[in-house]
Amino acid sequence: MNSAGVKEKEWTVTNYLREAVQEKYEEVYFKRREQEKRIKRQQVVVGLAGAAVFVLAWYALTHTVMDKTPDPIQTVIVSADRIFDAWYYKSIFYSLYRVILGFCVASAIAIPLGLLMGWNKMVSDFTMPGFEMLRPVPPVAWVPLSIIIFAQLEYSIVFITFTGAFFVVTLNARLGAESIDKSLFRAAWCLGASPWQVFRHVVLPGALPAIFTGLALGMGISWETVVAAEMIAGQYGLGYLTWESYNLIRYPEVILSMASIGVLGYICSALIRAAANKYLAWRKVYTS
Amino acid sequence: MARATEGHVEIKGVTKIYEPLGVNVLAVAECSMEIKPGEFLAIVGPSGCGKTTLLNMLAGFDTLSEGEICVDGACVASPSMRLTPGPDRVVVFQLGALFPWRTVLENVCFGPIMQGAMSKKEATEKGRELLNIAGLDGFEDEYPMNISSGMQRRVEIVRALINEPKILLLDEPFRALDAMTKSVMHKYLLDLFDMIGKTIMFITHDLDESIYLADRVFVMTTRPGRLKKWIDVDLPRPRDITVRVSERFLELRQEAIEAVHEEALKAFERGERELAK
Repeated sequence: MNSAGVKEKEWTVTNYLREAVQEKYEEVYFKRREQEKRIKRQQVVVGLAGAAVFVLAWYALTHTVMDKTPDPIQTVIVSADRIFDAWYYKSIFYSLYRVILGFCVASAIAIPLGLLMGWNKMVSDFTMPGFEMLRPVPPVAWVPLSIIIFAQLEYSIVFITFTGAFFVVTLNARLGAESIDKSLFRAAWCLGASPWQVFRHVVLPGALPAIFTGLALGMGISWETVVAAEMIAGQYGLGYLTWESYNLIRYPEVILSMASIGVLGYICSALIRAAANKYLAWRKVYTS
Repeated sequence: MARATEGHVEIKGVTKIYEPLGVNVLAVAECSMEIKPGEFLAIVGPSGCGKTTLLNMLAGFDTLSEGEICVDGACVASPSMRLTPGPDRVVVFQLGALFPWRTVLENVCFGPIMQGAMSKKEATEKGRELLNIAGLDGFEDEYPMNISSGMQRRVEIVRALINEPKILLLDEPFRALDAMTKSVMHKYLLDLFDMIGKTIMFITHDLDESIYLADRVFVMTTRPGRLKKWIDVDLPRPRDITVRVSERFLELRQEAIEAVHEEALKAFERGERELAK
């Protein structure tokens, strides 16, 4: 057989194989896509079923043992009326403003402080006793003191949300900085980085995953504390609205306020998660 | 082969005493050795013999208790000096130390940008060029987690070389790699050394590896570590995998095995005595 014949035969075989592989690949790919879609659909159905069971249980309970509690239908009717009320939005605005201000100020102080504590043993030793003592104090216990410190009620509530976020963000940042692989520091020294550059390019990015965990936790605690503070000492705000609705025997509105707190808290956490996904892209490992 | 004229390391009577929990441990005792400019030196010895301690002192991570270390005649470490790690003595680490939040290219550019030696643009160009030579083009924008461990080590070596160090310190860099990746990395390092001719200090406990790669192999004693003997590896360069079955290689290997085995036995016996206490 001449060599041209052999080559041609080889070419045909290779081509055939290539086509077969391509076909198989497409088949597998298509199957996987279908499977993913099916899983997504399943998730939605299961989620909706869960919600339905919850509403039904609520309805059933309110018509048997918890007969003073408003049922879902009453709640929806009253809510549909109330959500066109300026008072409702004023409450949302105040709570949101207090949480965000307190949370941001807390983060702005807590992140650098926590990183310094994790990076430098001296800073850690210096601050730890105070921290360990103040950390177990529940934020609500700060309410009277903060009213004494800040003559204005508004600032004292913001201060409460601040304490809610401050400790957990600091301690997470510290943990993050401490857990950075020591050889990364050595590598940075070797490559000629100054102490400030080590802080900016090793400590900060290395601690970022833990910082985001701290921020997510801190945001949750800020919401908890703002509601408690508003109930005790507030004017306006969702916590105040919840408590006032109870005092005025407007029970469906109690539930509306609670649900609003839930939704807003969820949105705030989702924003932090989105930021984390953006800045922690390097942690994503592509396995395909 | 262009051998470097700089990177002459003199280790003069270096002693290192650790004091964990108040008990003095003599890790390195009056150790003296010389690394010639442009030489590939491997240091072998039983685990815990102080070879990594020696490297850490040379790199400027760890203090000396006695003695001094000079590079090209200038003292870089002595008991009275503060630690001076720097880009003239770059380390490639045992388990790798790429910054996971920086892409391959950003990792490579880290040194020159931090030192202010190059503008970002210059560093990027130089980095791309070196990555090209290392066969890593196309991976510049990947994060370290998304490339193989062999590639990670190559990136780390490139990240060191961009600083034009006088000496490259390799601390068991291939320890965590599988056998096949390891043999590819050996060939890569041999080719690289033939190309750049920089002084290299290579720490390992793998005798075959040390003889295959190095010009000289220093065998260290068990703790406290000092130089026991050296073996001149007169295998011709450029080397490839066939060297490893040559007669000369096996002779040298035999010589090294005997020296290390003696020390390993001592370490083992002492370890048992310590356990018996």
